[in-house]
Order: sequence, then C-alpha cells, then structure tokens
Amino acid sequence: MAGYVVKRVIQAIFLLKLVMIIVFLLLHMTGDPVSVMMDTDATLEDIAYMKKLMGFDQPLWVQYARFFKGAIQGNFGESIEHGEPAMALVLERFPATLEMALGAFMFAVVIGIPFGCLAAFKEDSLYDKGCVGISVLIQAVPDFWLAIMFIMFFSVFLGVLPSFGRGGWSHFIMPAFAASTYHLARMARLMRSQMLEVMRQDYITTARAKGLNEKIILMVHALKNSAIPIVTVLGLDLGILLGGTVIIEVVFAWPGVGRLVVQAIANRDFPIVQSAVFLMASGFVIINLTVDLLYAYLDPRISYS
Amino acid sequence: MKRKMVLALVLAVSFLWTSATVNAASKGKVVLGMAGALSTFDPHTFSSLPISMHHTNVFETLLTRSPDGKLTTLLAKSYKMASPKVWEFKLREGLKFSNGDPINAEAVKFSFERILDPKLKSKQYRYFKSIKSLKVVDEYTVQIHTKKADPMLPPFLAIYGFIVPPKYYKKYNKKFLARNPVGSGPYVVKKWRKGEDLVYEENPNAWRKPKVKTAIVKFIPESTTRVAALISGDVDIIDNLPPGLAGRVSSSKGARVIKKQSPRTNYILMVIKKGAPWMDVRVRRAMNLAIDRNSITKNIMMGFAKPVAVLDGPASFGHNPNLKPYPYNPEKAKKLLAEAGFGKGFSFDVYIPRGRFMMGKEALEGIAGQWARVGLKANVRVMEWGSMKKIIFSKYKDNVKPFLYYLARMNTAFSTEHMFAGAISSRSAYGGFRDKGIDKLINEARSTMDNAAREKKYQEIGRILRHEKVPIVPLYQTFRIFGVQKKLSWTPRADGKLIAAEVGLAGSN
Repeated sequence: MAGYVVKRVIQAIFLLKLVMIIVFLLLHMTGDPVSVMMDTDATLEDIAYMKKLMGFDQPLWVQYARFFKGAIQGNFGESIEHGEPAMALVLERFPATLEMALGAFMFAVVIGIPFGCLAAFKEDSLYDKGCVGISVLIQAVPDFWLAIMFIMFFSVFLGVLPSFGRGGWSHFIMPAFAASTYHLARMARLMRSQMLEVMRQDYITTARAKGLNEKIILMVHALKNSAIPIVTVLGLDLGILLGGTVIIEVVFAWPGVGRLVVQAIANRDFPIVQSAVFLMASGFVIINLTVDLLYAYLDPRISYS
Repeated sequence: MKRKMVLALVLAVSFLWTSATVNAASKGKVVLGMAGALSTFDPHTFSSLPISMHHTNVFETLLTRSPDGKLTTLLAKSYKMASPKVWEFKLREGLKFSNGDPINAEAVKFSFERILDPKLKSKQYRYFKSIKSLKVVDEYTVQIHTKKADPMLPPFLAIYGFIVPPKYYKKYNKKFLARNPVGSGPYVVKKWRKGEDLVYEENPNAWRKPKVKTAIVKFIPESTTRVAALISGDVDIIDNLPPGLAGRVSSSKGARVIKKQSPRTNYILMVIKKGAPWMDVRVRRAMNLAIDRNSITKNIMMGFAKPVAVLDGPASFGHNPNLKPYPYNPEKAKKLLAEAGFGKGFSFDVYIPRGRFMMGKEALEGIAGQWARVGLKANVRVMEWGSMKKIIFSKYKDNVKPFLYYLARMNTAFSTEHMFAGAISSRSAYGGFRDKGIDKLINEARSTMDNAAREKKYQEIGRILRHEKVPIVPLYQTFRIFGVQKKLSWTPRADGKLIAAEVGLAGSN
C-alpha cells in the first residue's frame, strides 16, 4: 500500500512536469502578452520595446528555463496585468471556487444519488420515467441559460435572492445549484443504471430468497456494490468543479479561479495560467489517487501489490 | 419541471428573509455595477479604460478632461510651453495627498520618473516616451523637458501620469502598492476584493469632494446579470449596457437608459499590398460606397452609433467638420469596380475579434451582406483577440493573403493626430496602409507648435484621406450606454468614462 502510494506520487510529479511543458508551449504558440496588452494605437517600436523589457524577445528555451527555475522554487512569476505574484492571486480566488465546487458537489450527491436509486427501485414506473426524462432535459439545457433564468425568477421577479456576488447562503444557493445541474442529472442516471445492473445479480436474488427486507437489500447490498463507477465519476466531477465553473462564475459575478484564468488566457498573462494549471493538475492527481484508494475499501478483492 | 417548481417554491420561502438585505442604496451611498475588471491600483504600471476609470477616483493628473471633453487643468493651476522643448506647470498650492504628504513639484517629478523607469516595465511608458527629464523650479513649479518638441503631450497628461507621494511609493514594494493606493483624488480605497467589489470612501484631505460619501463598485462581467442587478435594485448604475437589453431597462419601473456618443471609432482596415484588389483606390472607394452606414447604425446598432467620415468625432482636436461620411451608392460602387476590372467582384476574408466591440460581429455581417449586393464576397471570420492580433502582425509577410479586419479604438486623447498615427501611419503596428506622403504630412503636423496651424494641418490630412487616398473603411462611433436608477443624478461624460466620484443622488447637491 505505502509502496503503491509512493509510486503514484513519483508518477504524478512527472505528469505535472509534462503538463507544465505542454501548457507553456501552447501559450507561447498562440501569441505573446505584449502584443495582446498593447492597445491598437501602439507603434511597432512600442511593441518591440516592451517585448525586450519583459524578456519575451528571448528564445523560447531561455524563457522556459527561467520559468522552470522559478517554478521548482515555488515561484511562478509575477502576473503581467496585476503586478503581483501569480500563485498568490490564484490561491486568493481558490476559497470561492472551493465553496461553489463543494456546494455543487453536495447537490449532485444529495439529490442525484437518492433520485437515481429510487428510479431504479421503481423501474418502469411513472416516477422512473419522469426522473429519466427530467434528467435528460437538465443535461441538455445549457447551464448559463438556466443560471440566467434563476436570476430572472428569484432576483428580478420574486426579489428574494441577490442577483450576483458572493456572501452568505443567499448568494451561494443559485450559483451552486446551477453549477451542479449537469452533474446532478448525470449522477442520477448513472446511479439508476448501476443499481439496475446490480439488482439483477445473483447475490440480490439470494438475499431476496433469504427473505430480507427490500430496504435492507437496497441500502446495504445493492448500494455498496454499485458504488465503484459512482465514486470514479464523483471524483472526476469534483475535479472539474474545482477547476472553476467559468460560465457560472461569469454569470453570477462569482470571484472564483475560473474567471481569473479565462481573463488571464485572453490577456496571455502566462504566470497566472501556469499557476492555475499547476494547481488544477495537482488537484486532479490527488483526487484520482484518493479514488483509487477508495476502490480497495469498496471492493476488498482489489489490492495494490 | 414539476420538481423544479417545487424546489423554486421551497427556496423562495426559505430565503424570504434575505429580501431585507437586498435593498437599494441608502443615503450617502451609491452602488455601481461595472463590466470591466480592475487588476491593479498601482497607477503607473498598466493602462486600460476600466482601470483608468477607477484610478481617476483615487489619483489626480496634472490636466484633465471636463465632462464635455475639453482639456482643462487639475493639479496644475496653469501650464504653458516655456520653449519648444519645455512644458512648464504651476501647481495648485497647499494641497495634500490622502496620507497628509504635500503635493508639490517634487511629487510630480517622482511620479513621471517612476513611469519612465525601465524597472517598473510600465505599459504607460509609450505615452511619455518623448520626455527627457523633469526639473523642479520651485516648490510649486515643475518643467517637463522633451527630447524634441512635443505639442501632443498635454492630452496624455489628462489621461495618465497620476501624481503620487514619493515617500510612500519609495518605501513599499510593487506588490504592496498594487493593492494600497495613496493619491489625492476625491476617494480613498477602503476595501477591495479583486473580481468582487470595491468600496470607496471620501478622502478627508480631498480638495474636490465626491458627490456621495461612499461608493461601492460591484464587478459584474455578464451583461444580463448587470441588468438583472439594476432592475432588482441591487445596484444603482451599470455601464456597458448592450443595445439589445436597453429596452428591458427603459421598461422597468425604477431605472432609465442614458446614452452618450463616445469617442470609440469603429472601422475596417485593409492590408494594402501587392495582390490585393484594393491596391486600386477605386476599389477602396467602391467598398466604402457599397455600405449603407445609416441602415447599420439604425437597424443593427439600434440607434446607438453614429456614422463618421474618417477616424475621429466632433470632440477630437483636428477634426474636420466639413467632411461627411461616405454616402450609400451601390450603383456607383458597381461602376467603380467595373472600371477597376473587378466587374465580377472578388472574395476575401475579414476578421473581427469575438465579443470585444459592441455589436461588432452583427454589424460586420450586415456590411458583408451589403457588399454582396455589389459582388464582393466577404467571409466574416470571428477570432479570439490574441490570435487575431497574431494574424494582423503577419499581414505584410509574402505568404499571407491580403485581408480586411474590423477594429475599434477609443480616442480618449481626443486627438485626431493620435488616431491617424495608430491606423494610417506606416509606423503603426495595426494599420495596413503605407504612404510616404501621408507619413510626411503627419510628421509635419506633429511638429507644428502653433495650435491653430496644427489643427488646420490635421483637417487637411483628414480631407486627403476621405477624398483622395481612401485608406480605410470608416464606420461609426458607438455610444456608451448606461442603466441608471431614477433616483440618481448623473451626467454622462464625453470620454465615456463612468467615474464613481461623479455619481450623485438626486436631491442632494
């Protein structure tokens, strides 16, 4: 087990390094910060002067070496637009992103899983069909549209929720729910199909034959055995949500990482993008490791030797 | 949907209590919902319209623009050209920064030297690159010495070159100063959460008082949300209202629409080089005559734009009021194309950045439709801004097919010279027109020290561009559109800026 974790951590370090190189090259291929930040009244000399001043006239490998040297010391450079250390700027936005990601994740789990289970339990009933129908609909509706409809209904029409921003529960509920809808619907459908598959297994028939209560069969035998794919998808969902739900952040003026990064990509503010990608990639690595370790708990037949 | 409705009801009931906190601004406080992001409060490092709108609340420049666009004094009491290479400024006496430090010639000298210091890597450098040195004459008199005569310096002193207290800005590092500004403007920053909100409080040492004691800025990038926030009363005034949502605001109970023609000129540039059909001036003229500008501004821009003849509007120094926008004359356009040997038309690419210019894509598609009627097939290519710039900078490479591109530029300097230099001069990074004669005329005008004579020269260049050279497709100036609660008293500015310190409540002052 410990050996397995060490192996995974070493893999993760190489993976992160690879990700950073790819991001660095991709960013530099699409333009340089100076050209993007100079307004449309700049002369050629103005642009050349700024490029030289900021070191973007140097060969790519020199720039990468400089970046890498800083990065291994935990220094991702200074944001071009903000004039502050880039990593600190990303970390400053992280609590807002974490808050919304966990909220959306919670909605997906607390609403998606029970509804999916019940649908499977009452297969082919009107309730089941309704659940499947609604979840397909929710998945198909774009989240930004849903978010705007929420604002129009709750803030403008009813006037009960603030239309934007971060604050207490009243600010949190609409963005978190809007960010969760896709994940929630997918979770419900996945749960349903997993449960249906498990319910057809021999050990469920055996349990029924032993005369066990249907509730116990469902809650104890079926639920745990259908959990592995669910945990995998939940891990992925959390990773995606932590990366910042850009559109929802923009619609609700939520001060999360997503908005910062999208702005930084548009401005080719490389240090911010690199810091954020590093954080997100690390997050994914940690979540994946956690998911893999959870497998062993859920299914004792899995071992990590 | 049933489940959602139930949920809606549950949420509605459980959060009824919050309605108490979602009230409008109280007395002595206004809330602004603004679209643009604010990345730094260091007044010397970066430059953009959203940033300068905020910095203007906290810092002051030597000169400024009055709300109707006239160049006037601010921290300077008076200024004059002492000799061709020397601008001399007399400062207002006895003024203090918000931390109590005195505003004097030394502070002016320090502030400009900070911008010009290569170590700061300031983006504002290029506005002041003509400056050689600054000289303190006495406590309240300062001279700016330029490398060569620069009559165009004052308009930039009204936008950038914010004056800061030297002791404070020497003491702290760049990172700290990015968040903790000290200036002499009507407001000081009380609280600032990046990407979220900003609280301004009256500066106790201010010599110009803000209209209200406290102004709160909420940063709301999405226009639909800004409108919702205005209509629900969460904010008092919003900027960047898209034309398509103006109707929602004007039909609401509490808010109204305020519009003002801004100096933002929209135009289409051409890469004029060998192999381009528009090397022939008749083709360029035909492309202009084939556009019905009035129809575009009326039907697509919904009246929130006004056609222009060249690059500048009426408030700009050097504007030629005798020049009229190109008329709509498709018959003549067809004739000119036939004469130039393009009777069957031709096809070409025209680039526009995504989501950058108000209704730009819609307008360009309308223009492409009008061009099609005279046989010109324009392929509208919507690009990400950074990628489009890369294409623009590659325009003169041999393997790049000539193309057209739509740009818009804010003439915040109210300077026709500056507009020409950025789009028509062959030194411009963005222009696609190279003409030695025009370059010479621009240079001559720029070094003409007499204001009236210089203005005449720009007007003459404007005439040559409009009638003879036809180097671009000028379109229109867009309006800045605001949604404003009826209880506010606020007059829009000619430069299109929304400055918090100028927003007042009706009834009080």
